[in-house]
Amino acid sequence: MEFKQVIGLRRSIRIWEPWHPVEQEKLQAILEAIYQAPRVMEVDFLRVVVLHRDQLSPQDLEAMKGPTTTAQVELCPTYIWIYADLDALEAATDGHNLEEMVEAGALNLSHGWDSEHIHSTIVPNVYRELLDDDDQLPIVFRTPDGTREGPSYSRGLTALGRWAIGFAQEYALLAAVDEGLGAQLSAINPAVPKRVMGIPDSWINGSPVLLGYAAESLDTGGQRVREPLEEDFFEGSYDRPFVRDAAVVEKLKEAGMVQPPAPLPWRRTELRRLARMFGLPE
Amino acid sequence: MEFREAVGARRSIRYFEPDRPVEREKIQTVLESALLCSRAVNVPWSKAVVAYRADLTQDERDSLKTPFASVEFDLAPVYILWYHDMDARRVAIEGSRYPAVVSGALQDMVALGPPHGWSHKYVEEVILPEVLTPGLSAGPQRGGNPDASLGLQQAYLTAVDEGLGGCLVPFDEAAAAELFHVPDTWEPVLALLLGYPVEAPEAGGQRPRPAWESMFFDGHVDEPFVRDQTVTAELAADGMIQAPAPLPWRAEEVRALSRGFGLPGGEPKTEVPA
Repeated sequence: MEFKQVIGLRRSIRIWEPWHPVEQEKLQAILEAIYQAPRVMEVDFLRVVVLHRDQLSPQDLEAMKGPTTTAQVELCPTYIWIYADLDALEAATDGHNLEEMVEAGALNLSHGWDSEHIHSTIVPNVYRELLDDDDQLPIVFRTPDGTREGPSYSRGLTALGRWAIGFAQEYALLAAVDEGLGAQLSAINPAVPKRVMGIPDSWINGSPVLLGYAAESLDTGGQRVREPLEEDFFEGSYDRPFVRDAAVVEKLKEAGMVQPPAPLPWRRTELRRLARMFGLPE
Repeated sequence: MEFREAVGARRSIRYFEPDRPVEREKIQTVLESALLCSRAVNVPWSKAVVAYRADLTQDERDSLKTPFASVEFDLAPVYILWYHDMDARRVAIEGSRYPAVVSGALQDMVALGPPHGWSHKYVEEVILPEVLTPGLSAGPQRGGNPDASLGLQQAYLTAVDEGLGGCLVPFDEAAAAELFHVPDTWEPVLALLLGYPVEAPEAGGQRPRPAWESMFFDGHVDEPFVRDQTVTAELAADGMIQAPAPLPWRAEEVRALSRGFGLPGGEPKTEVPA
């Protein structure tokens, strides 16, 4: 699919055909896209586990629900769980990833990169400082009795892991649209997948990608409304909003990136019909 | 450009045409795209300042440099400094800001409704106390948020689609705060440097990655997700998987670029006598 159409068509899909499995080749295509996502500071944080709804018991499915994720858990056939292994930074302190990037011609002497820079500057002054920073946050896990604390990592390192998760989530969502699938990021009780999939304590999670063939129309009643561009983006200084040129927006409409806003007139009827189809509240 | 090609063609570009400006229309397109990204509870977690190399003195450019990124700030004509707004949730709640969830916008847009248990009452009685409010009293907290990096990636891929080169680099937080007057409730993510590449679009080939089996799993961390080579062949045909780095001519290209910019490493290759 053309790139701008992928951006324009991406929505949070929340109603899938629960009987329609996602083909393995489509799952692989999504994972291959994630594989090409940029690494944060060339650290191999990412770990990704595919899990199918039918691998879980009804009790586990129920336990995965939360305030923002209810019927989705049962309607979507597949989840892609994206984690960052925070121990990956310690593993990177031997400099092997950066050495590999120098050998690949990606990081070059013209920009100051050589073995000495890696081992005398980056590892001690960037990687080690992030590892040894005193401002540590424990990973907190939900348990049947409440919570327990796992290993602690610095806030800076935790932030890097979370950026890496976001990068992968973005690639996964867009690749799913390109594959003709519906997807959503939705918060799920992470204790269940941690137990079922054997997730180590050093892995932090983001919201999983819920994935399947959409039962709702792919445009789900229109593009979600956003605040004005000028509230989020600035030019030259925080006190100068990046002023939108309406002509550019018109071009993006023609390209399919900016689409008609929600709600489209027929959306309420669609949602009521879907509710009846799946025995959900109208 | 096709989506798969955009993913495959993305590289960290580090040699830009420094004096060739990027059209403002393209920068707006990159930002418009980021505005449309997925984001938890529809809160605008991403904030960014667009800065132009030509508007900064050499000292100001130098102040933004870090051990991970130096010359890039001299060569890229556009910097988009990306931040996580740690105060975005509080602002959305207290101002009931549209279109964040607390304003009832997702029900008004019919994005969420009765089939999932959502109503204005549900937002007030469940989402607000159980999802949006917890932890807020501690004030802005550092430590990252994946939601702020989704928009950054959407921006980056859009730049590729616009025919630009891009590179994500860390920047000096204190210098940026002084230069661009950003609030102290913004936590830096990375800078997206943009410009027209001087290096070939392949930038020497697709970058190395860790072993597939160490990253992707099927149902359990002990079960690698089996990679089907017919799928990889199809993705290669579509441009998502490209020739790996280093391409045979990369070293020569880098030497020539370095000479062109007067940077280290531009010396001609020394022939070793037989």
